[in-house]
Amino acid sequence: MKDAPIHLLLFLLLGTAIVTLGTFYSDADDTRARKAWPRRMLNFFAGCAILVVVMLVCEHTFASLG
Amino acid sequence: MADLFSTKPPPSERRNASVAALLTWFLPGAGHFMLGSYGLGLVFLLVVEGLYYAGLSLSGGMTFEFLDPELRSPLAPALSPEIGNLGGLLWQLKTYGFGTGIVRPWPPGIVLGSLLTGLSGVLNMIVMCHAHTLARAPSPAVANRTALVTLLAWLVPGLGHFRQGRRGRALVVFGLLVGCFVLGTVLAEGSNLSRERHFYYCAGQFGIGLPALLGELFFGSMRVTRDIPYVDGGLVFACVAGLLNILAMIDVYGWTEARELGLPLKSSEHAGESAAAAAPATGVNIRL
Repeated sequence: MKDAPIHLLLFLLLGTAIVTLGTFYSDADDTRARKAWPRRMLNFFAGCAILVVVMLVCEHTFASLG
Repeated sequence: MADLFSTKPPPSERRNASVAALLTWFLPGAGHFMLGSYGLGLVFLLVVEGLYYAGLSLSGGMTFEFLDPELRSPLAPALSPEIGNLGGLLWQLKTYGFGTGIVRPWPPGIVLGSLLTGLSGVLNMIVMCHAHTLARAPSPAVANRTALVTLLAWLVPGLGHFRQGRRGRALVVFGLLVGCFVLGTVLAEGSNLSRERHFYYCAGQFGIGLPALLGELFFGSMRVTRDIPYVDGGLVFACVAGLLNILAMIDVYGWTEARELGLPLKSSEHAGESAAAAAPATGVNIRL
């Protein structure tokens, strides 16, 4: 876990690329795409955070060796 | 001769654009034959299949032997760039398959050969775009422009957008995707550039065009002599960069086709309204 911050940083970088390209793909107009970008970033990372919590709960409940 | 290479189909010969694209997928140029563009269809057939044949000759048909034995199945090569040229891919599978099972040395031209068969697949996808637009467009020049920007978008991320005059978008696409690819290559210490080592990741990063092609050509045979700490992260970065460039190519293709044919541009807001508003104003007779 000592390099967790590096993994988190890499995930943030890749997530930003995915959301930006997804936003451009959804909207041909640059101005509208720019406006939609913050909301999409928030949705993406909030969704990922929820997924992490669900996975941790599942791991703790069903797969914990303790 | 001029008539032979004329790309304009007679109105009565116009057919469904999807059928033209699907036919091209199976046999390069077949969609153009259907649309009456015999000369262009023949040129596409020769170029695309010629590339595939050259690639097979150089690689000895051993590209799919890069796959580990447990990954070999009839559907396994479907996740490779060769899938763009379905006829060629099926022919290769039928003729060479996954080899005889006896371990043999790779032929000297294996890297270039496997690049050429992959390139043939990508080029055929561009030919499919051309056939698709040709079936709908009032002028063959429209299909040429649409195919050209799509090809440019594949070659260098953002170049298709730049050619369309969407400079800001071009800069962002180039910066993000080339940045991700370079960062991935640095993290993986260049080991991501070998198709032999990472068959499926290489298929994904093939979507980024020239950076992946040149990287593999010049550094694809590099030896790995030690553990690479961030190799997994690097592979994911380079692969996702290639896959996202395919999204950028679709954006470029859709934008050009919509502009040229007078169709509404893609929008996340008021999609229904703009479609209804733009349809009567186009004045172009288009068969969908």
